[in-house]
Amino acid sequence: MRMFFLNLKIKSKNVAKERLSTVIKSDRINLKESAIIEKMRKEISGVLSKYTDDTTPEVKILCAGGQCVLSAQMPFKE
Amino acid sequence: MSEVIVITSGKGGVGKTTTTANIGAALSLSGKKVVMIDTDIGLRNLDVIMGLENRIVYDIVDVVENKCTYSKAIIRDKRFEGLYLLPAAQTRDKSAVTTTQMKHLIHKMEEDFDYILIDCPAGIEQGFENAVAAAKKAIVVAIPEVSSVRDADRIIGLLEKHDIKDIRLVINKARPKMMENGNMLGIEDMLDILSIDLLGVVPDDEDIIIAANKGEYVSSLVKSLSGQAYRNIALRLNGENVELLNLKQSFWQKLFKNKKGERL
Repeated sequence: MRMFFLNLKIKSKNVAKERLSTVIKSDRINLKESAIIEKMRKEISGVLSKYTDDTTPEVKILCAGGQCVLSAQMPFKE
Repeated sequence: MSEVIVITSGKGGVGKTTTTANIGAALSLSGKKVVMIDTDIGLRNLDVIMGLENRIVYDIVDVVENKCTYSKAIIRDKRFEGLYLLPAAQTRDKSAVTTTQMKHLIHKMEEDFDYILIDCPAGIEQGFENAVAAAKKAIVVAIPEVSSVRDADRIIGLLEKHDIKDIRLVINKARPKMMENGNMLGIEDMLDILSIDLLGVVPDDEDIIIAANKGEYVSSLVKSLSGQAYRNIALRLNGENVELLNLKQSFWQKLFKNKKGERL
């Protein structure tokens, strides 16, 4: 029985919900704050571009308790 | 020089963005270098359909305002060779870009890509004007419903006014059983009314919803019928003569289709 549950596929609905919660957090708050997050993304990309050739690093947003944290994960230059 | 194609419909919700993403992916699978431009400023969605929403740093407004070059703003989809996205801005509105800026931007990009696909917003206002400004060809997406066909007819008139002569139709969300029973407009009915060439017919398929939820492309799924429909559309755009798909699947095809979700 346990094996059966382990083999269950992640439903596309759950993936959609997770992805949308990130997007909506940065979109919905309001235009002013959303613009701040866009600015932060650009700053992070600017700093990281010294260490990578990727101009569009994947930046994730975590929002909780009225605060937002942006995190980036990317391969460094050899 | 690249092919500059606008994907439009007039009506919202008919699948313009999904069609753009899947045709783009199918063209890149055929070895072409493709960039997709989202011109729906303020309501961008192409990034989510493509699964690239976390990688947006610069957007089309930054490029036209000379805050960065377009090569810095475009996002390469790492899953495909030669597939790129220029996202729309989310915190601005359609007036942030003018038709002159759009023409200038696309003129600069033409040397670097085989195909430039422009995802047009719904409606016939500034967003539409921007999207069609530099396009040389158009794909009109319509679903077999009276409201969609009426809007598509209006859009075809506007495209002709913009001197776009090569206009082709993609019929989306087709239900062969309903068409056969006479409960839905048929392919011939739509072609009679709209009087443009047919580029392809995409079935109403749950694979499309599942793929979009995951930020994947149905056109890369080997056994998906809608994926095959998009790949055929890409082949026709490349000038190949491909017959229309038989949209009716047998019981066994339905049972065994895409069991392992194999990708190209």
